[in-house]
Amino acid sequence: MSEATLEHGPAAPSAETIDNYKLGMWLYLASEVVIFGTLIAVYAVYRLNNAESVQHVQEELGLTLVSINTFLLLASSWAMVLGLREAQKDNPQGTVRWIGLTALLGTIFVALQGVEYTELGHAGIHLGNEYGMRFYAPTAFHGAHVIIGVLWALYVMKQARKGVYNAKNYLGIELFGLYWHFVDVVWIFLFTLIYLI
Amino acid sequence: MTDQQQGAHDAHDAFLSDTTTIFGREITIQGGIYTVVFVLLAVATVLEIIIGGLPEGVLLIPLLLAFAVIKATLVVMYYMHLKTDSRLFTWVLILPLLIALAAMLYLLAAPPTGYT
Repeated sequence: MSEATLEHGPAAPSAETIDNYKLGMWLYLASEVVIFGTLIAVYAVYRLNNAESVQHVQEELGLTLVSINTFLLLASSWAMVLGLREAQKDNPQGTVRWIGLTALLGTIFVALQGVEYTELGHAGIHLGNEYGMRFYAPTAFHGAHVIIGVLWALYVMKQARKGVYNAKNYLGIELFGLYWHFVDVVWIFLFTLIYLI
Repeated sequence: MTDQQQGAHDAHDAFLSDTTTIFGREITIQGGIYTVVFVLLAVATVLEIIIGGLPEGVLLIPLLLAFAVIKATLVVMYYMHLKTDSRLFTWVLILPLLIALAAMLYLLAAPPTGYT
C-alpha cells in the first residue's frame, strides 16, 4: 500500500498492512536495542573499573537537572499515548493538543540537556576525557533521537490538523508512538545506569 | 469474531476507557490506564532517586536495576501495547535484548587488560 493511501486515503489500512508496518518499526527498534546496548555496555565496563572517578563526576553532575529531564520524558510519553487515544476517539483537535505537548516536552528535554552539557564542559568533562566519551556517546545519541522525535511529532501534528487521522486510521500516530516510547525506555536505563549507579 | 480478535477488541476498548481496575479496585481517572501507568512511573522514579542517594550496599545496584526494568516493562506493555499486540513483536524485542545482554555480560566479565 502506498504512503498516500496510508495517510490520505479515505479507507483505513487493512489489519495485515498495519501489522506489516508495525513489524517494520519493531525490527528497526530491535536494531536500535543492539546499538544502545553496546554503548551502555561500554559505559558499564568503564564504570566497573573506575568506580571512584565515576562517583566524583556524579557528585559534580548532581541529580536535579537530570531528574527534571526524566520526569519531562515520562510525561511526554504519557502525552503521546493520550494523543493516540484522542485519534481513536475521533477527536483530531485532542490529538494535536497532546502531540503538541509531547513535542514541547521533548524540546525542553533537549534544551536542558544542552544546559547540562555546558555545565559539564565547564567542569572539564569533554569528549577528550576517558569518562567524557563514554558519557556523551549514549546520552548525545539519545538526545539526537529526541530531536528526530520532536520533528516527527510536528509532522504528526500537521497531519492531524489536516484530518488524516480518525478512529479507523491512526497507524501514523501509532508508529510514531512506538519510536517515542522506545526513546523513553532507553532514557529509563540511561538515567539509572549513568546517573544513579 | 475469533477469541483472539474479541480479546484484541476488548483490550482496545479498555485502553479507551477512563475506568480501569487496579488490584481488584475500579479507578476512574482521565486517561484511564495510561494515567495510572504514568503515576506508577513517576512514583517509581521518585523512589529510585531516594534509593540512589543511600550509601552503597550489596543490594543497591540490583534494586535500582530492578526499578529500571519494571519501569521499562510498564512502558513497553501499556504504552507500546505489547500486552495486547502480536506475540511476534515481543520476540522481535526480546531477541536483540538477549544479544545485547550477552555482549554486556561478556564485556563486564573480561579483564580490563584483555585476555592474555
